[in-house]
Amino acid sequence: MALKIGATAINKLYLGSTAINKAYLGADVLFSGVFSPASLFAGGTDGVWYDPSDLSTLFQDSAGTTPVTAASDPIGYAGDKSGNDNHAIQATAAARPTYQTGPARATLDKVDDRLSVTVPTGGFTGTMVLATDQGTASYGVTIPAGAYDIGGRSGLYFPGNAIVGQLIRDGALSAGEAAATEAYFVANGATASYGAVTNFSQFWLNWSEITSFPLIDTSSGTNFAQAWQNCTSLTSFPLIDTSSGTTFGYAWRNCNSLTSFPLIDTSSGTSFSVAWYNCTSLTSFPLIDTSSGTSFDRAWYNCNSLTSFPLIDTSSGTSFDRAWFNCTSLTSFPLIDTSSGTSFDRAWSNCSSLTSFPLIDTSAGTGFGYAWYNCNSLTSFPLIDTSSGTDFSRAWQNCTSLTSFPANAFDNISGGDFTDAFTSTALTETSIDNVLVSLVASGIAAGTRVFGQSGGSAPSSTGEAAITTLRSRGWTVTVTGGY
Amino acid sequence: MRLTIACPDALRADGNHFAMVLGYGPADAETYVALNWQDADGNLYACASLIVSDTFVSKAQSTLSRPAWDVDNIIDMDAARRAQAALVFSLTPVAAMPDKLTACAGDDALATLAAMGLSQVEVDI
Repeated sequence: MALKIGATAINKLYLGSTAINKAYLGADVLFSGVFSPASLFAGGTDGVWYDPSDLSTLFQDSAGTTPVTAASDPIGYAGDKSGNDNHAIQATAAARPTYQTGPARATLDKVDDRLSVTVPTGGFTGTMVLATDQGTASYGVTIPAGAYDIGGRSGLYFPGNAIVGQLIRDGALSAGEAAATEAYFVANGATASYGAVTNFSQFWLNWSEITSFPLIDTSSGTNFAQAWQNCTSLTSFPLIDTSSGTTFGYAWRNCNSLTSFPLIDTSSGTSFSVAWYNCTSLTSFPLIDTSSGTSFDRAWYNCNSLTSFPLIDTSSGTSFDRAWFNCTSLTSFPLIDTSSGTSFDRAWSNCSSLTSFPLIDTSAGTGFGYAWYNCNSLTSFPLIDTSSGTDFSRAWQNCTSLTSFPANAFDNISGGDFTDAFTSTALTETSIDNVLVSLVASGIAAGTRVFGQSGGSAPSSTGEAAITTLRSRGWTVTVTGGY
Repeated sequence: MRLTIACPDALRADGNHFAMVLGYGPADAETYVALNWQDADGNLYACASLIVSDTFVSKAQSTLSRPAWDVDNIIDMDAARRAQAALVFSLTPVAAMPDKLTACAGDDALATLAAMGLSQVEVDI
């Protein structure tokens, strides 16, 4: 029922100068000036609206026969108040959320609890407002038809511990509508801001339906591990406050639709392991502050659209294992500070567009296995410090354009595993001689002593003499030409 | 009382028959589904957590009988009894075992699982 003058609905009603919130005709509300989410579904607009504060919508069983009446009752059925009959159910008893009061909410154990709705044909493309005990936010979403968990993705991943309210509308909400809906849920007891949350680990993990992410308050967050992992529909990311964040491991892994990334404050971050792994649509990366970062392993693994990389501060980094693996579009690499790095295994493997490589500080590096494997556009290589290195197996294998390699590169190495190190390269006679003579200079006569080269030129008599010496020290040497 | 239960992979089928006996219908055959948890030795578990009554605990430890709803004999009572025989019930967390259905009381399900020596299986690594 609505109060109208002719065909025009009345938005505001006054008694004198005092606005009236509600007017009744008998028991029926004739006029309401108070926002109700129901208004968002006028005219048959599809979507869902769950409201645990309305006990009449909650039932213990999935058939909707036994009402929820008290705290600790299971919720097997949450009625949809949008008018679309998209009720959410949980048929398995152990997986039902629990009703709690103060505020009224559906609590999730984050082990197996979840309610599921069957999204109708056509799906929902619009806005989701999710109000929890830890924060409230609005997201752009595209949800396909079929089963959809409104609480706890796979029973595990949810930005909070309880649902205080949730609304999804097929059709984007205006900013005002979203704000009004958030305020409605907050009035029902939802926490307005995520500003007090410190641990965001796995909050939005696997939320592939999110197409936009809001600028929420994350200023207290220290742990962002896996927070947005597998959010595969996000094309951009807001400039959230991550200044307190220390752990960013796996944070944006597989966000493979992100085309850009903001200059967030990561100055406190120590772990960036796998952080942007497989962000295959990123074409550039900002100059974020990584000065506290120690772990960069797999950080930009398979970011294969990155054409350049900034001169970030990696001076504290110890692990660079597979950090830029398969960044196939990188044409150059900056002179970053890798002086603390110990593991460089596969770090630039498959960076097949790199035409040059800088003289980075690898003096602490022990592992270089596969480090530049398949960098098949490199024509030369700098005289890096290999003095701590023990494993160089396949380090330059398949660098099919690599012709020039410096003298004295391995004079001070700590170990002799060069298995297939220069297999399928294009080393000149001088370069292969340089390598072999340098290995002799290293004096390595114990431990693993294997060297492999194929492609390019055979060594000269100088190189052959070096091979003879190496073999006398127990080395197994394979070179082009078969000497 | 909140009860958190770790069901090892080998007992999943039996555990789900047991869950149907204690539960309300055939949907309870989906109680132990995803092997999302593992112990230090890498043994995988499907876990469930729910608030239960004392009656539930008593029923779980008593002679099992086919529930009235199971007129079609969906439940394999032998399987349910095998799961019951493997049941370890504790008011405090005890280590999950790969040949036991371990049920522990505790208000915080995730904390209970951690105390049972279980950690989440890494996602899609």
